[in-house]
Amino acid sequence: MSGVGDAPRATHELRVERLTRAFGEHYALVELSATFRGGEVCALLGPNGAGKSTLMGLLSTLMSPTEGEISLDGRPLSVVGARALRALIGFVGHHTMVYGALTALENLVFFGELYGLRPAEGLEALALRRLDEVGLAGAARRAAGGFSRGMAQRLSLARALLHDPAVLLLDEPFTGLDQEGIAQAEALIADRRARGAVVIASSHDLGVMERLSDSLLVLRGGRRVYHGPAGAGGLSLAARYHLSVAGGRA
Amino acid sequence: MSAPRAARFGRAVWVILRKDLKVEARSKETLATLALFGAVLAFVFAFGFVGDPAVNLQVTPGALWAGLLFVGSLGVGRTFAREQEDDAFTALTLSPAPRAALLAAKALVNFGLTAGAMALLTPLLALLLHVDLTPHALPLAALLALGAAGFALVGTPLAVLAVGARLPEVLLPMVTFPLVTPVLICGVRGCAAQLGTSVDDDVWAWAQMLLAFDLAAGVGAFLLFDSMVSE
Repeated sequence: MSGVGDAPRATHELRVERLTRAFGEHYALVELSATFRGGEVCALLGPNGAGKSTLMGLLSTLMSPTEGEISLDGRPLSVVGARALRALIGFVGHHTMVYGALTALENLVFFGELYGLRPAEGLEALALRRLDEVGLAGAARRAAGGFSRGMAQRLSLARALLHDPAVLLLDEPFTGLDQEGIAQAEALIADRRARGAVVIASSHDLGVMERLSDSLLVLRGGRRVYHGPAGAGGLSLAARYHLSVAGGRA
Repeated sequence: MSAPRAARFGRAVWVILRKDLKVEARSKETLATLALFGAVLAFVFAFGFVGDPAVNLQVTPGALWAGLLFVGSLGVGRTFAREQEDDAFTALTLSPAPRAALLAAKALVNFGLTAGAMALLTPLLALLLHVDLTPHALPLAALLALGAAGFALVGTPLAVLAVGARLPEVLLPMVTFPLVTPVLICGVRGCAAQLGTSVDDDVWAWAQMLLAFDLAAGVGAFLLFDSMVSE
């Protein structure tokens, strides 16, 4: 990977077919089929243990499926290669995934080098720009170990967005963020959507997900109980979610 | 491996290695722990065995390799400790950098730390046991370097299994110690041959066996590491 532009790019399509993941006798995800299109934010919702984190783990290639297939733009992962997919993914997880002993800037430069980024403006300039986008420009040269949870979460978001990923996987991205941080994160996610990225976001903050989401995937007990437009049937996302979890299938 | 792939691999190794060295240079926690532990070990051996110089010379190979075992296992246990804080390990494995580069960088760090600690421990042990190792310095350094490499190549991939495991400090030595037994046997016998405390042995033969072990461990580690990282 070389340059990192922020211009619009070709949209991708991520598809899962009969995706299943078992941990011993326990099935965390059962025969899930779904399509995630570029230029859309898909809200991934479900109660605890529904299989949301397992799906994120499978899509990010951190886990391998027990059965089923993941494909990118119609090409199975076995053909595309896990490393090629990883280069396209930005991931925010339950933990911030940054090094406390390094400064915010050093963290981003380290990950940028690991991704092989060589932007025209220079890697440090790109990292500073990302830090500015998440409101951390003033803390760029402070050790991340001294950051509050919210600041560390902003840095985590900057790390995930550093290489301008085509697929953005966000598992509870608003954890620890204040209102200003949530607004900034929302704007950044909306910007990536506008530029064609596939965005899959899981959060228990239904208000934010309502504002952001184009489509909704609800899981319960590892199975899909709803997948469709977020505002289908005139229902709010929250109402659609509660209805799906309560027993309605789609 | 093609030239561009080799260059990408080398660059990824250097990026991870430089990050680890930078973090270690700031905290100095692993090197300080290893040096302190090595010094305590040297004093324990010295107070336990100091007496007849001939006896001291005979226990020197065992003391040196017991030192390498303990210092090495301590270093290996710290391999992914920083990666576990805030789960930075996941971010590393999510990157498109070859996972073999992660293994190579971590093994190099482990090798460097163990070899560095042994470079401090060996003269201290010689001093306290009143044995003159200067005529044997180069062959002993070569044997210990081969031993440190073997320990790093076995311990580093196993350390990844301890990431997220319960009681990693118990799990890691349990799986590492049996596998590094050949390193210890070859190392002790090779040192004894070099110091002349076992007249029948050929130091070169033991060094060759250590080298063969290192090569086999290296090939095995690089073949298995990717599947060990994946859940």
